[in-house]
Amino acid sequence: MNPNEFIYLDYAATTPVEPAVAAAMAGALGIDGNFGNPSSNHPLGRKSLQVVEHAREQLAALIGASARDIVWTSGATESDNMAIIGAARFRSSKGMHLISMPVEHKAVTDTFSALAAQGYEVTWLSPKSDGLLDLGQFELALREDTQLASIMYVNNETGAMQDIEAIGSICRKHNVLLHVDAAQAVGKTSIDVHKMPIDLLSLTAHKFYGPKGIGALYVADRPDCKIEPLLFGGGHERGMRPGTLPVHQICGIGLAAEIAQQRMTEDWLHISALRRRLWSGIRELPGLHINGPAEGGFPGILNVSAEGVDGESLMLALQPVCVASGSACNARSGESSYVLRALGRDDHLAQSAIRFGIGRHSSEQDIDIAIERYCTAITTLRKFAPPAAVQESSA
Amino acid sequence: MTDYDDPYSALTRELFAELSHAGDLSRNYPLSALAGVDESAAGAKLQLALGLREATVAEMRFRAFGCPHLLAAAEWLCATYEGHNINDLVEFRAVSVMRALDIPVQKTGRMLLLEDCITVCKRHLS
Repeated sequence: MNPNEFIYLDYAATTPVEPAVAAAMAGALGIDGNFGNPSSNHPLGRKSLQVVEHAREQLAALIGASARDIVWTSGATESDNMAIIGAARFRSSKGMHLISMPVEHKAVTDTFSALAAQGYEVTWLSPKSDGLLDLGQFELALREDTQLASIMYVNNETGAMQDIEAIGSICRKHNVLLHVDAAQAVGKTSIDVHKMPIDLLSLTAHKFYGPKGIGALYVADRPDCKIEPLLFGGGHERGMRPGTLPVHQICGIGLAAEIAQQRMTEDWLHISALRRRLWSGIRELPGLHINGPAEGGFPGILNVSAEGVDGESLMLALQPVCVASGSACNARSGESSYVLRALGRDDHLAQSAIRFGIGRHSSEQDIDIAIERYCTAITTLRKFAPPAAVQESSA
Repeated sequence: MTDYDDPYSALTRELFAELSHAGDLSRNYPLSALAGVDESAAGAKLQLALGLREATVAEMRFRAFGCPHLLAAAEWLCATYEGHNINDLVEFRAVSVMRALDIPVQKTGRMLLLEDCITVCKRHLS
């Protein structure tokens, strides 16, 4: 299959690597490049270390952090695991109560479930119908023994953006650490961890036009904010994450971060305009429901359910437009999205959900093709359904 | 089938893209039957309409709510059995369309809707 035959609207799943990033990465691989081990005490090693530390500064600048507070990881899933398990263990002598939401990414919910199996108590706070956390309910859920809350910045399925400033302020008031899964937010929206009350923040490069397999965890430099390591073997990354550093990938995330910072406003305006164009083009279809906030969410994600339509058939009918029927991580399970079910969608509507992910390289032409395919698919599939199916699905 | 295989065969894609037998019968027939069945677990629904001239299936139409395999299988069924004797249709078994379209075994329950619908049609005709 020729990738050029497809219309890619799945930028929330992953993004293509920027050509300049790919070129920089290639320069760190071969005999003429910075292939040395950054831990080696010779000129080639030190040159590689210089690349690593420069990238650390580039990434830190993107989120307003100090470079020393950035820990390299393999991606957001590892960062989430490190932050949640590591902080929970570090503070377990003070208490074992943790708080999160059922609409978090599986990297968070599964990690909390694993801790619950080890004796921690987890409170799951249901979202409001727009996917946002009820701040009053959140504060009420905090207890004397609560040690950690984990709330994602931008929801990967709905684009709902939590009020991290307000959530973090409540956490600080109650001496609770706040971990933020910011995989969908970093490089897209302005984040300043020195100004915002964030203690731990997970991110990954491949969501902002960097390579897969590299991410980072921000750990605030405070005595009460430490994480116990999950891995052992060499004391790299200030003892938090051992292993030889992948210089080419780190070089890639650094440059991708710098480019994202330079283009942030331009990208935001571009995808906002395309989202408006997309929604304007399909909104007249009857029986559509936006999953997540209609306004005020991250504009790169538009998640829509359609009454009287089977999601799998809709996905196939939309081709060559590449979209998601749920998060990419569970798209093959055949189950309807647990995030949409948590928002109160019934099984039929959750199954019919399509997530359009708009990105830097999306064009008006891409959106127009998506509109045409979506409208045709919905109309055709409804036309061919037995009347009862449409009635029951929309009930 | 692995995760990286296309879940739909070429024939499934072809039939799904051109559902020429989806809809209602185009005219009145001396003998006709309309039957609907559903699979409550997955929410799939199928409706078959048969128009007969004596013992021949003159026209066959379907309506379906469900996955691409169900829609493509219904299209295949209609295209295959139009012009055949009704007894041939009654002998239809889901395994034949599953083989023809390379439908994954996990979809067997959904494919049995075709057999069930034909059984109900036959009951209406007798």
